[in-house]
Amino acid sequence: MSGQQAGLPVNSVGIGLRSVHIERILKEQPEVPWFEILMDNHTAQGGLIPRQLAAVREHYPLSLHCVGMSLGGMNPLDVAYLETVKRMMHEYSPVQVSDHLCFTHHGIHHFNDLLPIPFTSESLNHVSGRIDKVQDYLGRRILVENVSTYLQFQSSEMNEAEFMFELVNRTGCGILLDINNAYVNEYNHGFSAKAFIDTIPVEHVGEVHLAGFEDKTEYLIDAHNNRVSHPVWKLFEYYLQFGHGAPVLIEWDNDIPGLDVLLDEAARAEDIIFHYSESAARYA
Amino acid sequence: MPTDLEQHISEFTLALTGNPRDGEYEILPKITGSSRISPQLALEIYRNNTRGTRTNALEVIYPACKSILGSDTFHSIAREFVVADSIGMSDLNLYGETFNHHLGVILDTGRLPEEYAYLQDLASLEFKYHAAYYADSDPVFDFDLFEQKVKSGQQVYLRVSSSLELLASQYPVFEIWLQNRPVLETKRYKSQIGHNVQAITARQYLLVFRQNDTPAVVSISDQEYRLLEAFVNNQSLQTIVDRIDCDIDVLLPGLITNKWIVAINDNE
Repeated sequence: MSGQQAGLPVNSVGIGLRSVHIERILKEQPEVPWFEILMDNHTAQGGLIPRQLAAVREHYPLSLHCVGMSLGGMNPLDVAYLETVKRMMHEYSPVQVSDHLCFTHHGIHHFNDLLPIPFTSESLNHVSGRIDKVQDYLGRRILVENVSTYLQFQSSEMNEAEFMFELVNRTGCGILLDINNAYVNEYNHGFSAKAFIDTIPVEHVGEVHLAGFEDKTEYLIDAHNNRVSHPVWKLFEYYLQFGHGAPVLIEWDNDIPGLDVLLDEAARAEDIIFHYSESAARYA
Repeated sequence: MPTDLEQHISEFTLALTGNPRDGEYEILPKITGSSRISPQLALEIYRNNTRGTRTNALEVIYPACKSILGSDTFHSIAREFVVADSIGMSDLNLYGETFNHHLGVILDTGRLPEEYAYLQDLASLEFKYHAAYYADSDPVFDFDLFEQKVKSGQQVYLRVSSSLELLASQYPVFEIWLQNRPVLETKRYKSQIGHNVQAITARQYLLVFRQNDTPAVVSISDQEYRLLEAFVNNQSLQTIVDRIDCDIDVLLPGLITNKWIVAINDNE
């Protein structure tokens, strides 16, 4: 299923909805095709948050991005968490629901981070089973995002892209392609981000994330606290050459700047998309 | 017998939360390093990510404590709290409720001077203020049901607002809070800002709740405090009338009008 079928315009560039911008968004209603909400920050059932979200939803489509499903984890799926996702689906009718290929808690420990798993056939069976259960519970397809990592496991029998390819085949889930994460992994581990994009089934990419990283010189941290970097823009152009458009998101979670900066980044992404669709039309 | 995946995840978890004396973790030989990131550095990055996220959450929740202690001292104390907490919680909006106890331990062990003794109560006030924003909605008080229950002589249990929290302090924490929170939050208390903070002789009673979507702090009387505390502890109206020395007929309507009491609980 493409992004268009899922309800968001292909190649439209949305931005992450952050509480510091909501008042201005509601007042000025800027031309943004859609917003993504980070579910875990907006679960309050009283007060300002639900009312503001409902007001934003009146004017814009929403995409619901989660960090707590722990699709790679060993704890039983958190039914209360999934129930909250379901409630928010009911309240805000998001056009996409997504989470990450990782685990976020184990036993009694919560990490508030996206932790990698080994890419083995055992993991594939395990994660596929959990995605099936989540999709059955929610009654819809979800998108699964590739994550930035700082280690690899020796036991991995395949790379992340091959793993995701199989996940899509087995579960019918879509992919949330985070191009910044692919680049951070290329820098940190030395394997090709282009090869990652070549391997995943791009026709099943339902959403694309663009974000900024923090440069620690020796390595990169997926900090979402900067403008999209030049190599990530170049990689985005590489992805666009495949011609399978998807909705694109400018993601910025830390040291959040003014709304204008996010709109500026979105405009840049739109320019690049426009350039590639023009070129594609010219050579078609 | 744990599966291979379970083994990896358990050992990875232990490496992020445990503290073995020799610094060796079972997960280490199972990690492939790169030319940029060794396995040890990788674990350190993940530890820092988790701790950094939680420390940031504390900075958001406790701005007045941070302002008083200074960024470096606050950061160091917050980091200590975070490192000692291997469990964490999924919803960081409500992370660090026991940070006030951590400050208490630091004060008790003399690592902060006595003049900061009020910090424990200030931190408690800051958490309550922050949490009020995320509280559930309240129902509208049902006066007819209340009247009916009272008239028929039934036990009446009253429920306070989901956002309501109480605090009693021997320090002038409200004034300290006002002077150290961001101006935008405190502008509605304008008439009270800028006064010098004076030591107080009687305890200060504060109530935190959400008013028109915004958390608010209100100074209340000791009678109101004791009454609300009794309702929080789920005492019946009749028990409260018998045991608490206050003019409930005068006070109760105000508590309901202010939406501090929001419903009648069915405890029968």
